[in-house]
Amino acid sequence: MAVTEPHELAAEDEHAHDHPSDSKYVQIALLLGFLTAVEIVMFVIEDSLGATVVKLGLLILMAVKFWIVGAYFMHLKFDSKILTGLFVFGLILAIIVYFVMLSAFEFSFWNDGFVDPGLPSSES
Amino acid sequence: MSSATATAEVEADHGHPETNSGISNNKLAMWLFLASDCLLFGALISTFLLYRTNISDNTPFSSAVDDVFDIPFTSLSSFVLLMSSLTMVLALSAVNRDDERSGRIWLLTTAFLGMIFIGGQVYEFTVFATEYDLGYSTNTWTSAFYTLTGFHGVHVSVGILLLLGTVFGTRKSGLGKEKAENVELVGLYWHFVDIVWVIIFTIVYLIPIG
Repeated sequence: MAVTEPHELAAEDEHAHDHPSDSKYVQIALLLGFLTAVEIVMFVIEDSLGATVVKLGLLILMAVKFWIVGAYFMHLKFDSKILTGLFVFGLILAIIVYFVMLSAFEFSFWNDGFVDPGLPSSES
Repeated sequence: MSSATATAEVEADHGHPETNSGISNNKLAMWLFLASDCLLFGALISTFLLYRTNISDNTPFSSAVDDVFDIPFTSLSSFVLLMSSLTMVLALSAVNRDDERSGRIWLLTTAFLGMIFIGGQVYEFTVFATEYDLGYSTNTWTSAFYTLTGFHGVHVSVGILLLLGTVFGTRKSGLGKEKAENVELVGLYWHFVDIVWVIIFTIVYLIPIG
């Protein structure tokens, strides 16, 4: 397995200072604003697009906005890959938490015969 | 060249003492904190998603819960928070250029935009409580909603304090290039708060139930 030497990491860190210019930051912010506007339009015309398309589209736009802020404003694109790894690790753990909770609730519902009070009962 | 001299040179070049990874310990610690904070928000968002359709019969409104949201207003708040991320990077950019005055102005602008966002959240909570009679313990949806968005609001408020602390805490020592890492750390926290809102805005406010 290849081992990254400290001096290689330090050299990688030197590139960390190649950040975008102010005008580039403004362009990125405008893009983020535009994507937010697209999200709102999708929400407004949900009936014509269909719930599935809207959900999928909103999730994709959310992921794109997340990546843009992380990569450019938080400088992950320019900083050491160690930092990206740390952050992605935290995100993956958070997603695992969601699925663990989801599965725990589902199993609990099955075992206890739990009826979600938010959903209409099949007997009524 | 002695190791002390070499260390001093690295510190002068990078603004932090030499480390094996080339990343300052403070920056690494901040990223570790942000990674752990992902777990906090992951749990809160998970709870909200599990409870969002779990509305008991005593809910004081019969229509879908999504109808209580004022999307145009929240969209404006989201836009304000997104723009605060822009002013934050402009502040860091100015400090990196040793432009102290611009750095302070952008930091104060960021704090001001954060305050507008918090003001919007307080207004939203007040409308929910007074017009829709939605208290914290009205049902599991309101509990999950207030906890999630409230925790985010607390994060924004802490961010505002950090920004103001950076501006006013450096009045005597100055906010030059040597303080760039401090500003960067506050910026990382601020951008994290922003990306968490990107998720909350989409999942809580925009994605339809069902």
